[in-house]
Amino acid sequence: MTCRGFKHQAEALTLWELAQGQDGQVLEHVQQCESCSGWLQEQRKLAASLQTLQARTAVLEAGPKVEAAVLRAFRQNAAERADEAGTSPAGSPLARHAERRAHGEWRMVNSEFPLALRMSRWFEIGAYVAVAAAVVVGVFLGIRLLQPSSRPATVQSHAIPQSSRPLVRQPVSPTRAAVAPDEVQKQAASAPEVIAKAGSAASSQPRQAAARKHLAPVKPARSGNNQIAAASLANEESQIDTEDGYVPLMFCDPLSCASGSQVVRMELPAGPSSQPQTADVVVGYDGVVRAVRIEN
Amino acid sequence: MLLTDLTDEQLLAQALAGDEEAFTALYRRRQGPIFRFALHMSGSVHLAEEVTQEVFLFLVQRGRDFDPERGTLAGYLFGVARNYVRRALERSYPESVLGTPVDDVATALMVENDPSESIARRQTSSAVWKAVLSLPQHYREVVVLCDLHELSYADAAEAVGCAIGTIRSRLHRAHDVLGRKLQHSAVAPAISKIAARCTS
Repeated sequence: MTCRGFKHQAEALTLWELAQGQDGQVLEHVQQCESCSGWLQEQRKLAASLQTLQARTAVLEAGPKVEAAVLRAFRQNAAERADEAGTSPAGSPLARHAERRAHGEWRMVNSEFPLALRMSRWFEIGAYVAVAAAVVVGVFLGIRLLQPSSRPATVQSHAIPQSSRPLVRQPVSPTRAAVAPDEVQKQAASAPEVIAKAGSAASSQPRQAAARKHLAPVKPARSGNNQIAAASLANEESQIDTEDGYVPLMFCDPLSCASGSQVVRMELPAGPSSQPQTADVVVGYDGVVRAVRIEN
Repeated sequence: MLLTDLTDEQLLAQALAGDEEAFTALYRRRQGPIFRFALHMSGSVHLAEEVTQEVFLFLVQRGRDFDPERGTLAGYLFGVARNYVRRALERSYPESVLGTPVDDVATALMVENDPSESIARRQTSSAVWKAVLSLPQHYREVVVLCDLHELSYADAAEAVGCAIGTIRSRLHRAHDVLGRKLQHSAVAPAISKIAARCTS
């Protein structure tokens, strides 16, 4: 036998068979070959050392708790199988019924458990989506609130610089009705000049233009109750002066009242026992009413 | 016929039919080797008990999957145990950690036959166990299955899930590595003495 043959033969044997040296061919070659003899010696040492370990751990076993747990699982499994098969387990009818019910409930819970897991996962996803939506809406609203508001705000009285104080004087006849355009022009011409500070970027006309009176055409009455005669004065820039009798209807600061405004004379509908009243309404070019003054 | 006279496969068949005594007999017959396999592979008593429980719970639930024509029940159980051990080791014991001293409990449980040689044998056993644990996993499992548990090459191949030739070549290579480790260890003289006593 060659060394190669010896190795091949030796590999086919287990370590214990090699150590015991029962193979005649192997023993014969070992007696002739020193290196193979040395190799066999090493295998025997290894076998001996492993045998020591094997002997010292031979009696080790799992504890009694493991056996109890395994047997418990076996009984549970057997009961379930008996339940499924429809055969009743041993014991009193009441005990059998209780056990069957318990196992049925357990099975129901067990079968619902995966569904509950799936549902809870969707709830979790839904919660995240709701929170994200709330954050987006909150950010959007916050941005909108921070933007300059276009709603009318209450006008607060404050000291207006002398140079920018408008003087709107327009005597109004107590009994004013729908008037013809030419009569309105006559009345407007007698009104005091409007002095306003030209500060608006939209304004391209100097102070004499601010003093020019622009009269809107009189609208025909639509009904018998409401007759509105409109006579407006265009101001390049006007500030609300409460000292002139105007009641501010919004907060007017240089930012919110930066645009020009015009005064519109209106005739308020008469009540059953009162006469029609005239009011001067300061309206900004954005259409927001700044202030009002009742003439009579 | 006594339960002890039945084969593993016959006991399993009765257990699957609902016979608790047959299952208990099967458990008591096979739990020791499974426990020791897991213990030799990991060096931890806790892990070995966990694996033993998992293997038999698996048998309770999936025992019907066992096919006697493919191999023995012992090989099947060792294969299941091998998978659980691998999973447990990957989860809690990284490869680099192995080679550390064996569980104190496992060492303490080792049997002392002869008080006069107990120290030398205990040291040798511990050294051999450490050397086994330091082997790569695919070498370690063949050494434990074939050398420590004396499984046949066929059963070991079924447990590991490879060919018999692969088992042989791995075992041969593992013996070379293990022999070199023990040759350079401090217990080499003790091993020589034990080997000499065995052959004489």
